[in-house]
Parts: sequence; C-alpha cells; structure tokens
Amino acid sequence: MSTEAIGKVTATESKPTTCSSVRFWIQRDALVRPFDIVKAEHLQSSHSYAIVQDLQYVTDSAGHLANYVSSDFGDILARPLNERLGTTIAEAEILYNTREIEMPLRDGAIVEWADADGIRAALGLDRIKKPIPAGWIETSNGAQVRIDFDSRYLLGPEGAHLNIAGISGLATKTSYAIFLLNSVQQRAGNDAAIIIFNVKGSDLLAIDQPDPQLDEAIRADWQRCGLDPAPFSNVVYLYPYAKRPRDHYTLSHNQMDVLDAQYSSGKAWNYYYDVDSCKRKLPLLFSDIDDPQSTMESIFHVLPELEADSWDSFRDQIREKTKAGQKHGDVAVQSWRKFNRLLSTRTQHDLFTNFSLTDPARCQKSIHDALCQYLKPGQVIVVDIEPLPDYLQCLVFGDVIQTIYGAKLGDVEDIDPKSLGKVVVFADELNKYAPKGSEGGRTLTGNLLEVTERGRSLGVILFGAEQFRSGVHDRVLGNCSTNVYGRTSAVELAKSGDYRYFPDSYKSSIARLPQGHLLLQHPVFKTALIRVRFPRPCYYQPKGE
Amino acid sequence: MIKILSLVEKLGILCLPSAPINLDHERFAEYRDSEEHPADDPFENPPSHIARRRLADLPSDIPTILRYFLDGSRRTYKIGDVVVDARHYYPVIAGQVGVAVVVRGDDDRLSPVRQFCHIKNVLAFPDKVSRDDLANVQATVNEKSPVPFELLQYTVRAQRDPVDLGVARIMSEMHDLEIKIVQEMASCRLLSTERILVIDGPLRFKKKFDLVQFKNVIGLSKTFRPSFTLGKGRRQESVGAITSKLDFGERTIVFRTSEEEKTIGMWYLRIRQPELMSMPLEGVVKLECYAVDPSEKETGLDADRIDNISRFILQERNVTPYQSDGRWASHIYPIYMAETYLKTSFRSDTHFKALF
Repeated sequence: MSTEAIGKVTATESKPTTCSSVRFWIQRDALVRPFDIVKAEHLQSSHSYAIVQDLQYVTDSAGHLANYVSSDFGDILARPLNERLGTTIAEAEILYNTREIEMPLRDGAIVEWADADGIRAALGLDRIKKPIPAGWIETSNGAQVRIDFDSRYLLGPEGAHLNIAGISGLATKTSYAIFLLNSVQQRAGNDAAIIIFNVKGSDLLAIDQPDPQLDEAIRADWQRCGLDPAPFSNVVYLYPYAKRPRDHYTLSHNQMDVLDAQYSSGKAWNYYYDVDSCKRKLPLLFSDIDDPQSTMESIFHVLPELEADSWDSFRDQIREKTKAGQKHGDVAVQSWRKFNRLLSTRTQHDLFTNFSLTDPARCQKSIHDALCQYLKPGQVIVVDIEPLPDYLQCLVFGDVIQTIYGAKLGDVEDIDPKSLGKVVVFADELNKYAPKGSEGGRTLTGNLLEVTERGRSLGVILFGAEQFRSGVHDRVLGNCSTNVYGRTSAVELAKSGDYRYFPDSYKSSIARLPQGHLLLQHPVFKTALIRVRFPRPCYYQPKGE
Repeated sequence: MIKILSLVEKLGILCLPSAPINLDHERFAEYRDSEEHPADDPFENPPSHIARRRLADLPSDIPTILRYFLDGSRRTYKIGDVVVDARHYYPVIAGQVGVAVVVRGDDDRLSPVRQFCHIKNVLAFPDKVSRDDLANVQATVNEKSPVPFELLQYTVRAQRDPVDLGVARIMSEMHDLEIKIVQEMASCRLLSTERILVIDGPLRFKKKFDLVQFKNVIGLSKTFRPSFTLGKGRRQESVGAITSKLDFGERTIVFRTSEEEKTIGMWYLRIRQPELMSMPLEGVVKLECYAVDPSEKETGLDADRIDNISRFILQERNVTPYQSDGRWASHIYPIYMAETYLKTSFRSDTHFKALF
C-alpha cells in the first residue's frame, strides 16, 4: 500500500475548510473515488483523516460557451493545441485528528493516502472491545482494512437490531446477513442463539455443510475478515409438516439427499399446529385482515374458551355460531360467518394437524417444543417457511417471535430466561411482517414493535431485510442501530426519507453498487456511511427439488 | 504585526501614510503601445508586394516550435507620501512584480518552470531621499518585516505626475526581470529555432543587452494602437485599416521599426474569424522579432520563418479564456496560463496592503 501524496487542501473565500469538511485538489494521475479515506497534515504535527464524499472536475472555463468558442466556434473536428487548465476537486468529511484538533485544515496542506491503522482509528474501529467482523473496505490505492461492528451496539445492550435493504437478485442481502450471523456465531457464539427464517429457495437449508466448491479466493476473503471460512455449527432445521411420507413428511423443497442426511442425524424436525396450542395464536394467522371494528379481536377472546381435540371439531364449533338467530356475547353472527370462512380457508393445510403418537417417522415437533429444546447460546435454528403461503408464514414467524419474547419474560414454563443468552432472529421480507403504516390491531406488527423497542434490554435482536425501506414500519427501522444499504433504485431513493440526507454522490453509489458491495451505518463509525465488501458464502447451497 | 511605514518613520524619514490605493486600473489599455516608433519600410526577405499573406495550413502531426511562454506582471499601490524639506510631498509606491515562464512539454501539457519564475516586492521612493537613507530603510525593513522588500528610486521630473514615475520605475524593474530571465534561458541553451520563447507584450526593452540571446524570442501583443501608421508616403496606412482587411489565417507583411538602436520586424496576424468578432481589431495579434544577424538587419526577416512562426501562433488560438478575459480573442492560452500562475502567486490585495 502506498502512502504517497495525492493532492493538497484548497480553502477559498467561497468554499472554506470547516471543522467537519475539507476540499482538496487531486494530482493529475491519482485515482480517487467516494468512500476513500485520506489523511492531511495539520497543526502540531498532527494528521486529520477524511472520507471522500464527492469528486468534481473543474476547469477555468467561464461557461459552456467558452468551450464552444474554444472549438473554433462549434467545429467538432477542431483539435485545440492547448489543454484547458483543470483539476479534480474532492469533497471530504473530516473523521478524526490524531491530536484531537478540531481546527479547520489549512490551505495547501499535503493530502496522502491513509494507512490501514489510520483508517481503523479514523473510523473508530480501534476502540471496539467486542468486535464482530463485518467485511472490509478497499480503497483506491489498494489498501484493505477489516471493518468490525461493536457487539455492544449490534447485539445490545448499548444498541441493537440490524436492517438490510436492497433490491433482490444480487445475492447480497441474504448473503450478507448470513455472513454476519456466521461472524456472530464465531465471535459471540457462547452468548447468542440464532434463528434464521428461510423464505425463498433452499439456499439456507444446509448452512452447516461446507461448500465443496469453496475456492482459495473466498477462503482468503474470510480470513481477511479474521474469520474461519467454515459453515455454521450446531444447526437444527424445522420444516413445515405435510402428509407426504415419501418426502419425510414435509413440504420443504430442499434437496432430498440433504433432507435424508438431516433427518437421519436428528437435525431436522417438522413443525405443525395442533388445535389446542394454536387457538391462542390464531390472531397471527389473520394479521393481514383489516379489523377496523375490532370484531375479529372480540372473536379471538372467545376462542380459548372452546373445547376441541381436533381441528375438525374446532371448525364445527365455529360453524355452529354462524347459524341465524344466535347471539354470542358482543359478536354478531355476520362476524362469525366471516371468521368461519377465513378459518376454513386458512386452516385447510397439512400444517394444522394433531401429534401422532404412533408414527415417529413424522418427526413432528411444535415450534414451542423445538424452541424449548434447542434455544440456547451457540445453537442455530433454521425455520423453513418458504413453501407456505404468506398468511401461514406470518403465523409461524409470529409464533417464534412470541415464544422467544415470552421465554425472555419468563412466561414459558420450560425455558429458563437466564440460560437463553441473546437470541438473534433473521427475517427476510420484513415488509411482510411489519409493513409501513400498519398501526395498532395488527398482532404481528405489534409483536415486532415490542421486539425492536424493548428487545434490546431483553436480548432479543432482530436482523431484518427487505427490498425497500419505504415499505417497512418506520418505528421498526428507527429502532435499528445498524443499517445496511444495498443497491436500490432511483425511485426508492426519492421515495424513502431515509436516503434524503445522503450526499448526492452516495445516492448515486447506492444506485450502482455492484454485487458483494454494501454501505454500512453503525453507531461506532465516525461517519454516516462506509462502503464495504464481504466474502461469498462458504456453506453449501442446495439447488432445491 | 510591524508596519513598514512605521519602520521608515523610526529612521527619521517623515512619511504620511494613506489608505493604500491600487494603481493598476488601466483606463486605456489598448493604447499601451503609444510610445512606439512608426514602422516605415517593409522588412521581409524576399520582399513582398502584397500587403497580406494567406498562411498555408500546418499538418497536425508537426510538433510546435513554440515551447516557452513568458509573462511579466505587476501590482502597484500608492501607500503614502514622503515629506522632504517639510514642504514637498512625494508618493511612495509599493508593488509586487513577477515574471513567470511556462513550458509546453513533449506531451503538450503546460507547466510552470519554477527556475524562471520570480516574484519580488518593491518600494519606490523619490530620488529626493538619499541612497544612503534608502539603504538603511532596506536593511531595517528586511530585518524586522516578515516580508522582504527591494527599495527603488524614481527620478522626480517637473511636469510629470510622480505617481506615474513611481509606477514606471516599478515597470522598469519588471522589464529588467524579464530580460534577466531570457538571458538565463539563453545561457542554459534552452532556446533554439525549434524551441522558441513567446513573450507577452511588445519587445520594447529600453535597456542594452546582447541581441543574440533574443534570437529565438518573439513578442506577442494582444492590444495595439489602431491609429498607428505603417508604410510611408502614399502607401501610408493605419493599423486599423490594414488589420480590418485581414481574413482569418492571414498576416500582414513585416514592417521595420526600431527601439534603442535595436531593429525589430513587426507584423499582424488574424487568429479569429472576423465575422464572429464584435470589433474590427478583435482577434488580431501583433508579433515582433529582433533582427539579429547583419543580413537580417540589411534585407529583413526571412519570410518563410515569419510564415512558420505565424502558423504556429495560429495553432495556439484554442482553447480560449472566452468570458474570463476581455482580451480573449487576441490571447493565446499558454500566456494566459503564465499570467494566471503569476497572479495567483501574488499576495492578495488585503494581505499586501496590510503590510503598510
């Protein structure tokens, strides 16, 4: 890595240097880009570090017309002998001074590339006590510097929750979340359990198996982050139950050989919902139904009183309430009829069944039991909800969240809250569970608001991802102390208020980010955003059946 | 900060400070050549009977012979009045003078040649203050002031504005600096027929020097006196009349003129399309060359050489400082660059005035 000078600070009457910003001209042959970090000499033999935000090429031309005139009044073929005086001016944000001097930089100060140690100090990484590797930055002069999150701000207690936004199809959002979770397991595994929801494909359904095609370049990228290029350990998979004996009694689209291995080694279970435990969770099944008069809510209060030992029996009892001329508390028959229609439709799924005492091949386990058994520090639980329709995904997701939250509060009998450690939950398509504008009455959104607003102190941490931040509830996003920005569209940049205060060049960068590149915002960083790269996955990604 | 005029006063020279006034507002810039002698005979070999010559286009792959470009500049200020014999008041003129040279590299990029770029601060006192006193002032100023100054004397003359005399003395200092730099460049063997130096302005140095060192130097004037006459007798014509007939890429024949016993060949070249200019003289430059060899002095400057120089000057027309400089149409960019370099190297008006 070179540390040669690349330019000089320029302070003018109209564009002075300030405590927080500096401009410098760049040597003709130097290549600089936004997010590069440079250092400039300052008072008392100190150095100030700054992150480049924008670049402009200026000439002494007074206007476009001057350039037109300089081409022999519009002769396209004219070849001017003289090159016009011009230079590139970089605008940079001051990050740090080695002697904590906050005076503006002086005109003419030499600017050079920052060294790796300087970059870490400038970003505030040198003071992190519990680092969680989060990727690396690569500057234009070839410097590669590992970037860490501070565990205290990622997993609590100082700050918590992470959100990742970016368009689909670049294999970036999920890959980054899983890389970060792997990093959490390697660095904070003794203190954190991880729950991952698989919402599409089969990519996350063999995360404990090494990738047979892992090459040296990917290994080197992991090692650059200070991590072993190893898959997750202590993983258990929960698949949706189905009456499919040939498919291990699951709806999952995972590869059959992968499933065979997981079931035979006791790492996989099929979750289901029996009527007794599910009737209290039915509000989650109808999270997406508008209930302006709160009639559904009134019905939900009645449901636990119904005695039923099977789903058929339960549905029969509901059907009884739809007959004309009856009155059940404050709920009108019309409301019961609507509820009956919805219930019949939404519980016509193999997931709603009773436990089989005689057939262990079904590998049935309720979400509650699975969490009681496996939720402990160091453990990873993958919940496959990909084959389920949206409303069932909300039910399962909400059930997991409620169970964890209840366990943390000591409301779950079989789980000792003190033994749980931190629980990190990763959910893609967060906009589905906590959509923007959904206020009170929506059970699942309410649960997520609870988690993001109070989970930090309890140790329930949400890693959420979605395509568009503008589609997610503001309070859920607002409670995330760490935010990750992947490539997004110009429309989203204009639509979401979160991008409003980014410098224009950063907005432009976000719209053009290549695969494997992200912008990070974390409370410990001394700047709003940094651009990082991260390693490709090192676990096996099944193709799906 | 120690004020320079207070240092002068402490030495016993009574000096009344005034608010420093910038004296560089040139009200009649186009008449700067008004002192030049009229040109009389055609001075071109072989002699030409045609008043205007059309220049053939240069192939684009021929490297230019115009390699160095020199500009001298000055800023002058009236900073106070020195009182002589308790009765006479003479202005003290301060100034910043500088000369800059830019070179065109083999890659066609222009860059300053620091070795030949000099700036100095000067203070011009009337000759009513003795040389010994000035020497004392110079020693004290350079010891105590953070900015060094060179002290000059201007000769007070009856019927002449002493402010003009002081400014002229500083101008003369600038010309001396220009001559010195050309001589240094020639001594370093940097100049040749393939590496010509272009000086901004006319070659009117009122000093004696070895002309051989100026053999590969040409002067380029952006402005000139339109009523100035060329030729004699019935063929006498004003520059305004001749140049207004020049078409784009045409030059006049060379005319002979002289300065302090130095013979000069002078011609005009139009470097912009006249139909696109707002005034008849816009886009015309005046070029000058010393006649150095005895044969040149006798028969005039070689017409082919003049054509060649003119063609390369014509090539310099782009890019232009259009809208940045009122003289853009007659400016060539390398000179503009030298001028920009020099002016941005001067201390700001605010800083300089604060020294007094």
